[in-house]
Order: sequence, then structure tokens, then C-alpha cells
Amino acid sequence: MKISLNWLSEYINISKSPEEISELLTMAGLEVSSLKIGNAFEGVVVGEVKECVKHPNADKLSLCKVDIGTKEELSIVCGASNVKAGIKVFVATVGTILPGNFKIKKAKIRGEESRGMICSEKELQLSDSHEGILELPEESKIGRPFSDLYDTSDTLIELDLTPNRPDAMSHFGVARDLSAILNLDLRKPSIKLNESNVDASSEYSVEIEDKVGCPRFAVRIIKNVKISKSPDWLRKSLESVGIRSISNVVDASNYVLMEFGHPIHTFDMDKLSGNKIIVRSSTKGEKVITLDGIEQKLPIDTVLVCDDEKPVGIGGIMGLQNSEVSDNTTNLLIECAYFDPGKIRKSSKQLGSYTEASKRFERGCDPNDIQFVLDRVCSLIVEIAGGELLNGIIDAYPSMIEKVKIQLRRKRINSVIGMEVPETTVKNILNRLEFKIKSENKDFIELLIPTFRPDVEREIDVIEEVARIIGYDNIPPSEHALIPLSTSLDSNESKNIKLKDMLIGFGFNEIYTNSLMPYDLWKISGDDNKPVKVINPVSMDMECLRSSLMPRMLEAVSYNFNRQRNSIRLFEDGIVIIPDDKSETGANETHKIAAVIAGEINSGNWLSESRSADYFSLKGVVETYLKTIGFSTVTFTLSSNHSYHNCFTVICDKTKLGFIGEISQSVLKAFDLEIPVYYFELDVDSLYTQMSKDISFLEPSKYPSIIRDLSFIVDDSLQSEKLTAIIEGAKTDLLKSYKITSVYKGSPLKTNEKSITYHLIFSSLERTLEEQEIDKICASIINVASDSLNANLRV
Amino acid sequence: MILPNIENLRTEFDSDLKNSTESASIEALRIKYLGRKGVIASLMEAMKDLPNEEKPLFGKSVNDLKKYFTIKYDAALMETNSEEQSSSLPDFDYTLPGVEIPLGRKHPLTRVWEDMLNIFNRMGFEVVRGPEVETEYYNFSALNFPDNHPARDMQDTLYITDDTMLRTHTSPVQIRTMLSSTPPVRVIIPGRVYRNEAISARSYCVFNQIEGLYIDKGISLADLKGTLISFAKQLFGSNVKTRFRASYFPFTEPSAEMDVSCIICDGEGCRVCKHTGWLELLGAGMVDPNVLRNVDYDPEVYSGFAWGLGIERTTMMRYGINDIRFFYDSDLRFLEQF
Repeated sequence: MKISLNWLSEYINISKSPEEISELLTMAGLEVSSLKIGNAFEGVVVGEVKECVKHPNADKLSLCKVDIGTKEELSIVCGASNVKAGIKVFVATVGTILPGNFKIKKAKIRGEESRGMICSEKELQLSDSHEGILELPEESKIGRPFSDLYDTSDTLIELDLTPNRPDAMSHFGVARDLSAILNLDLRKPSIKLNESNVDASSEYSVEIEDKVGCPRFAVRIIKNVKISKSPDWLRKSLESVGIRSISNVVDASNYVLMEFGHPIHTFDMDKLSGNKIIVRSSTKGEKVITLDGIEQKLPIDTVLVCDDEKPVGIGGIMGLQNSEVSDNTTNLLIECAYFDPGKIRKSSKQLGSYTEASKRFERGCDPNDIQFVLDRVCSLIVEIAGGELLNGIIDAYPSMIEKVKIQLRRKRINSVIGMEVPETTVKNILNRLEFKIKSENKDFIELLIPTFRPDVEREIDVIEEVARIIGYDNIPPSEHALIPLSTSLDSNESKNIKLKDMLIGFGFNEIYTNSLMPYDLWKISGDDNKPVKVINPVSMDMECLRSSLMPRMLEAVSYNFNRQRNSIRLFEDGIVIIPDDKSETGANETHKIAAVIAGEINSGNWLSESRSADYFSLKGVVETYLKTIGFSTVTFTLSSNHSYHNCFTVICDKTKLGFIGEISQSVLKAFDLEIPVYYFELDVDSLYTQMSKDISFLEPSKYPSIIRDLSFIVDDSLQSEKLTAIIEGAKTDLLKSYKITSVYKGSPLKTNEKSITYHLIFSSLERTLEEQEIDKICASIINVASDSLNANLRV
Repeated sequence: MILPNIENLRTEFDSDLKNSTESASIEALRIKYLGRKGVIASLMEAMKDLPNEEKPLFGKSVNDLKKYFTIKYDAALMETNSEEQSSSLPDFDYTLPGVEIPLGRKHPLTRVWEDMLNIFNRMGFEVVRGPEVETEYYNFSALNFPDNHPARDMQDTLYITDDTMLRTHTSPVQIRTMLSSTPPVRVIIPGRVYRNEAISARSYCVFNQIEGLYIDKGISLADLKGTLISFAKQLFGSNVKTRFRASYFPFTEPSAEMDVSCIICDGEGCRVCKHTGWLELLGAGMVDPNVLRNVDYDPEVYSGFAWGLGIERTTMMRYGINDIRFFYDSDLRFLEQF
């Protein structure tokens, strides 16, 4: 919505600067999105360049002699490349103030005197063009002031309105808010009607069939108008707010629309058949030709304005070609109506037409200003297009829309706002906003809310108006301390931070990826389910919701790999979603943390060579991660998933925590990746459960430990966990820890053999251990290994 | 006994010192002058035989000499030590770089979220979360969005079915929280939200919000201001200026938008703040009585406020990032700056 300050001054006298007005509107909720401050450019006149030579001391400057109609020609230094002798230009003379408080002074530029400036279009705010100076038509009269040729003195404010304020979609409405904010009087234009003695109702009638869609429909009739161009003031007013001037009659109705925000439609009465307007709902499949000449199929239940044969307008949205006012029109039927906001919104959405009219009707126009608006527009039409205004309004208003009554409790104002608001301030604001006080007592004020404020329905809405006009910035903030409602430090959020911090410590970079993806990418998740799909996606490549963090993460690996990053570790923490009929939302959402490792795990340096990531690099991360979180025995069991070359389920105490795997070749190919990529995904809620458990402290032993290294020769195909199980199964509580320190194949072992070396640490809390008792334990381990796995000690 | 000339001893020491460049010869120097049977010791010994009246003067001279020897000796020792140490590994190129330890980085959105979490935790707010797929009821109806009202156009919605959708804001979690608890309620709600908007430098169809909700007896607009001003000062520094503009959201009344003075130009006016000196930080308001009624809280007894902000926008403001897509591109050259 564009507001002209000149226009606004018809209704209110404001002595504030445009910047101040703009600030006040923004603070009161009518947000100013741009402000173009007017400037009449006093001191700018037409001149003719008489001479133009190169500046002796600067290549890009010219020295000009310019005739501006004064005795003496002005010497002006000009930097534009298109300046030349013989052209007419605008000259800002000494003393002129250009936008940005740029004052033109007598100056010496590189040693040459300059008494003024030749202007570009941008400097005169005519356009954004700063290409060169503006060249004027040859016939332009030397010495003529700029303001004779262009009217740029008006300040224009562009408002970005919230949908609850239809009343502010007009100059008068904005003036009303300003009158409340600044406590200034508002002037409503007075109307003089000169009605003929012929009754309009004798010529025409209106019947409303769709009383829900159209609660009120009123018309006036003007005969023998003369369609012509609009007077200058009208054309300029409309153009200043971005509306094209068409003809005096159409312009008059647009003017009143911009003035009071109530749409008006004018019909060429001679194009209407019969003498009755019928307002009804559209029938199924009904078609009309709109003003733009396009045949449109109407959605069912659209409000139609019809004569006795055909639709002549889509109510509240647009008129139709068959009854449009043209240059030959002489008799007018002028409509002003009130349509149901919900119905207008539905129809305009279905039709895809958002017009100045529909934007206002769908937010809610004033059903009770119709008579005033019709009188206003008709007096204007008669003033500028002549004609005979028939007597009276034909007004179908079967059931009056009453003003809302609200009881405003005095105490409630203060308790919601949090400060004492003086009674006089409250009343003044209500009065300026035209909220009528019907009655009052010591507890409350009973108000009648004008119907141009459909957003004010309740006491709280009135309190907002009071707060808004006082200005939120004038409410002192309260300061008080709060005691947390929960006593636990150990929230899931702090656990989440720990989970992320650990991976960061392991060298993983956190990423956020788009949770919407194309179906082809979703398929890569290796999920057997169907995805949750968006029925109106932004685009087809954002159709499915992620059911795994893997596809987008591979995309990130590929993105970075293609940018010469050869050591990639990434992780993401987020929600994945699968369909679930049992859930109220139809979806099951789980919280995952996933990580990927690819390329080199250290990128190599002058001390050591680089090493490529492998399965064990990432398995080590998972093991360390889970151990640090507090899981004691974690197992990895082979599972199958077609997106992975090898995939292992991570299990602790029969709970599935997630999985780890190497991405399959075919998936990697889809991302043009030629290096192996390893990925894990863990269930965050399971991790949280473990993290909630307390750590129980074990005192370290005071006595020395005994160490043994045992190397077993086993069959090449043996999975080491079987041997490990035997060591763990040793019936002793003296074995404190063990680890595998080497796996060896080759000479002197046979080709189908390998050796596995365990490093065992024994200790006791109570005493110093005897070598012999440890030897005995080792012997028993060796025996069991030999018996059950045919594993022999390597000597 | 003939007393040796003190000055001669000094000269002799100086010439011996000059010739001692290795630690071994310096040690020899120590023994000769400062040792148990050294020059100083024998002078002290000789002092015994002097007449009493000469003792003080002689003693002082010997002491001065001892001090001189000690200082010179210590300095020489230190010098030889450091020379010998650095030359003991002649091939040690200590200017080579250290071995790099890979350390990951936290995503800038997480950094800013954690800062906000800390601020609100300190003010007594707890975190709650809710689903990303929502029903029409929680996302709109319960939040006082009228059917067929232009307010619904403020948030372009991605639908899953006719009555389920990707939540357009974190506000439905307000409803879920109030339904499952009794006042007082003080929570913050983080999470992903979705809008049907094309991806550009300024907008992304997926983004993260933080929502806050405070319900208790006697909460006013002044409390809203106090809390949110404190938040802004903790996040951007105590010099930041704030202002509250009237605005409109269906689920709050009165509604406000809070601006902070531009962090780039300190409110002077620059390109980032479009020369206004202000940046929009969050939307807020007093919870609408209709919303309270929808969760069976009596608006005559309880009141409260809610606010919401986009983490992406705030992070962009904080670090001067000019394109929202950086957050979702996973470009390590971007991520490693945080």
C-alpha cells in the first residue's frame, strides 16, 4: 500500500518530518517498507550547454559554459561522458540542496571554477539511471524551473501491512491512526450532493439471493455523464500511488478506493439488460469473460453480480467485459457492496486473481460506510464528468451488521500492559480511533467498535490498541529473577551437546542438510518403507522427507571431495521421519546422530605418511564413542542392507543402538565417488538413556600388575571374537583388561593360518599377584582355545 | 703474611674467565676462586691474623670480590650451558610445523543455538521439543488462525495430507506443552520448520526456529519486554539497543516485533540494516486468550507471553553471513571458519 503525504494532508495537518512520520507508523504496527522523500528541487533550472571543452587538468572532466537565462553564462565542470555543446540540461544552481543533504556550492575543481552542477536522472530522483546527465528536449525553455516540468515534491510511503488491518489500506485509515498517535484532529471530506428529482428506485432495483456471500449491495445512478480525461490533480494523485489513470469516471472510483479503502464498481448502465441487479452464487461449470478478455471457468459458489440475463461482475473481485465503462458510456450504475471475507478469499484463491478489490474484501471492508462512500464517489463524478445524479440510493441490506460491543475493564488495561495508563490517555486513544463510549462505571467502559475494525472483537484487542498507540517503547520493562522450574541439570539438551562435542573431538565437522529430498535420493537410504511425501512440494527435488541422514551426507562428501578435500569427516544430528498409521500425525519421527568418514584419516605430513580410512577407523570411533557414553559390551553383528557393501548392527544388552557400514559401490557411483565411504547412524534416545545412568567409581589397585602376551595360531577364516570370548570367559576376576596387539599372516605360518596376539593385564585390589597363579590362568585359557578352536600357542 | 693486592686478583680472574669457554674450564675457575680451598676461602682464612682494626675494611673488600666472582661465574655458566644445549642436536629443525591434530567444528547454527539455550536456561527456561509433521489443529486452529483467513497466507504451507503438514513454525509445541502441563510454564522450543518458499540467498524452505513461552499469574507486556531485552543484551552485548514495534500474529494479542540496533554499523545505518539502523530480531506477544482457552487455561487467571525467532537469520546477523544457503551446503571451507 502506497501512501502519499500530500494526499494525507487532505485529512490531517502534521508538522513532523517524513522520517518522523515513517518511524511513528512503523512503531504503531503499520510497517514502512520504503520511504521516498519528496523534493521540489528548488534551484534546478533548464540550461543550454553553449560551450564544452576538455578540462585542462583532468581527462574525464569537461568545462562547460551554460546559459540558464541569466545575464552571465555559468562555468560548470561536468564529469558525464555524454555532455556536449548544444544540448539542453537541468542545472542545479549554487544553493540547491539535492537528496542526501548535498548542497551545491561554488567550487574549484582541479583548478577550474564550477558554479553549479549538470544533473543526472538519479540525482533528480526521476529514475535510478546514473549513466550520464539527463538530456532534455530541444524545445525546453531556458531558465524554466524543474518543478514546472516535474512534480516530485510529494513524499511517498510504502506500507507493508499485516492482514488484520484492512482499515489501514486507505489514506483516511492511515490518517486516523496518525491522529491517534499524535493526538491531532482528523478531517473527513464534506460531501455536497445535487440529486435530481427522479428517484433511482423507480428505474432500478437490487435483489440479493446469496445473502451469506453478499450481506449488502447498494447502487446509485448517474445519467448523461461525459467520459473524458481526468483533471490533473486526480491523475497526479493516482499516479503518485502507482495507479494508472484511465478516465474521469474510473479514476474517481479508484480515488475513493484509495481514500476510504472501499472498492467501488461502475457499470455502463446501457450495457445491462433489464432493470434489476441480482446477486447470486455461481452454478457448476459457469463461465465468464473477465476484463482482460479471458474466458474463465468459475469455481462453484462464487458470488456473481448479474443483470436479468447474465453475470456482469464477479462480486468483490472484478468486473466483466460485457458491462465495462467505455469512452461512449453516458449512463452509470455505481455499485458499492459488502462481500463476505471468507468467500472472497476462497474464490480469488481459486481464480488466482488478487485485485485491489479482493485484497480489501477478503480482509474485511466496512459494511456500514457504503452510503457515505457512494455519496462521495458520485459527488466526485458529477463534479468532473457532469451528469444527473438520480435521487436516493438503492440499498439492499437485509440484515444490518451491528457494531461489536466490548466491556473494557479499567484494571485489565494495566495488568496486561504492566503499567498504569491514565484514564484520560485511554479515552483519548479510544476517541481518536472512533471507538464510541456507550456507557461506563467505576469498573469498566462499554465500547461500540466501528465496523471498519473487524480485528477488534474482544477486550484484549482494545487493550492492544491502547498499548500500540501509547507505543511499546514507552512501557518500562520489568526486571525480576526466575527460579528454574526443573531442578535437573541433566537435560537431554545438555546430553545432546555432549554427544556433538565428542564427535567434534574426534575430528568430525558438523553439518545441517535439507531434510526434503527427491525420491531418487530417498531410495538410496536403503529403506524398505515408503517415504513421507509432501503433496505440494516446493519442487520435485524436495518431495520426500528424509528417513535417514545418509543420502544428504553422501552429497556433502561428494561436494567437498570435488573441491579437493581428501580427508572428510562429517556428522549430523537430526530427525528422520517414516510413515506411521498409528501416530496422530501419520508419521514416526526419531532422533539420530550419524557420521561419515572418507578419504585419508590423516592427510599426511612431514613426519608420517597419510593413511586411508577403512572400516576399522570408523568402528574405532563408534567403540570409543559408545564406551565414553557408558556402554560396556557392544557387539557388531552382520546384517543386510542393499545400500551398504557391509553393514553391521550395533547392539548393547539386546538393544539396537544403530548400525555401521561401508557404502555400496552402486550408491557411491550415484554420487560420482570413487573412494570408499564409511557411515554410522545411532539412535539418540537410546544414547540419552545410557547417559542418564550414574558412573560408579572403582578404586584403582595399589599393587603392581602382571602382563602376559599370548599369540595364538588359528585358522585364517576364524573370526577373532570367538577367541576373544574364550579370554573373556576365563574364570578369574584378576584379568583387568586385554587388547589385540597384532594380527599376522605369512611366513613361517602356513597359508591358511594367521596369528593373533593378545596383551593381557592382571591385577588384584587386595594383594601382589604370584607369577605362578597367572601362569595357571593362562594355561587354562590356552587349553580351552586349543580344545575348542584348535588354536595353538605360537612359540 | 703479605696481603695480595685485591685488584690484581680481579684482573687475574678476568683473564682466566676469558679463557674458559667450556663448562669444564668454568668449573675449574670456580674451584680456583670460589672453591673450599680457593682464593676467597684463603683470604678469609688470612683475615684471622689481621689486627682487629683492619678487619672490617679487609672483610668488605673480600666480600665485594666474592660478589664480583659469583656474578661473573654464574653468567658465564649460563652462557656455556645454553650454547652447549642448542648445539647438542645440530640437526633439530625446530621451525618445522607441529603435527596437526584433526578437530571438528561445531556448525554455526549450533553455536548460536547453544548460546541462546544458555541464556534462557539461566533465566529459568527449559527445552521442550515436538514433531515436525503436524496436524492442522496444532499448527493453525489451536493457535487461533481462523479458517479461510489471510493470516494463513503469512506462512506458505507444505502439506502431507489435507489435514497434516510440515509445521510452519515451532508454535504448535506451545499447545502440546500447555496441554500436557499446568502453569507456571517456562519453556523454549527449538526445531526445524518448513515453508513453501523457493530457495534463495534470503530464504530456505527448511529453517530452524526458537520459540519461547512463559505462562503464569500476572504476566504483563512489561515482563515480555524485560525478558527479551535481557536476552538481546546477553546475546549481542550490553550496548545493544532494542525497540518494540506493534505487529500482528493470530496467536498473540498484543503482538510485537523486536528490533535490535544494527550489529554491523552500531545503528548508524548501513546496507545490512537498509540504512534504518535496526535489524528485526524476533516476533513476540501476549498469548491470545483464545489460545489459552484452547488448552483449558483460564485467561482470567493466567496470562503470559510467547516469542519466536529464526536461528538462521540471527546467525547471519551475528557473523555477517550474506547467504542462507551456506548453512545447508556443507562446504568445509565455510564450516571450518566457526
